[in-house]
Amino acid sequence: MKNRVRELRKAQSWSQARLGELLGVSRQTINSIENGKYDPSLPLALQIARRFGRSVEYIWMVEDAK
Amino acid sequence: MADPVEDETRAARARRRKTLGFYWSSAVLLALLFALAYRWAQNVGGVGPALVPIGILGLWWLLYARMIAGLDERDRAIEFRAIAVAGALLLWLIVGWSALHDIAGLAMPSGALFAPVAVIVYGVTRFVWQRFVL
Repeated sequence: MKNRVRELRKAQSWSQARLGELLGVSRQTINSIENGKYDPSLPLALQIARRFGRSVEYIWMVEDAK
Repeated sequence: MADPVEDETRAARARRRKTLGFYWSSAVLLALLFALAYRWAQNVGGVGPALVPIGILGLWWLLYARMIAGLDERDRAIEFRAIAVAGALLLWLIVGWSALHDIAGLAMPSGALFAPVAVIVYGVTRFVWQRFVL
């Protein structure tokens, strides 16, 4: 899944470490999410969406299967 | 004024670091203890002494469960994969070695060797997974 976490984080001028601290996860977790290597659990996705004041659908997009 | 969210997450990170450190040192120590206890049980013989290494494995398992509870979700996912891959590799090592023992007469290593090997295989698997996969 693609996501806009990096873009939203940068808009807030937060580092990955800072966002990780705010969400109670490690910096590596944020990095993996941003790079699309790791899809967060639903509770974490909701927490991220709430932190940025956006909907989950806005932040995550399912790539169309060809 | 202190930010309660930040204080809480900082405490969570510190707890995670402490738990990981605690786990790694105890895993290495317990693997060595297991190896020693296994050797001792082999020399003494009987069911009673064999319970010592089994008890040590049980203690390791309790510490492991405690560590898992302190990790964030991605670390937990890595952890489960690493332990599964390490377990499978170890099983193949034992089965493969036994087969070579039967077919080619290769000497079987002491069972005590497998505990430290298990920790090393697990550590390497975890590192590779964390660094290159997730």
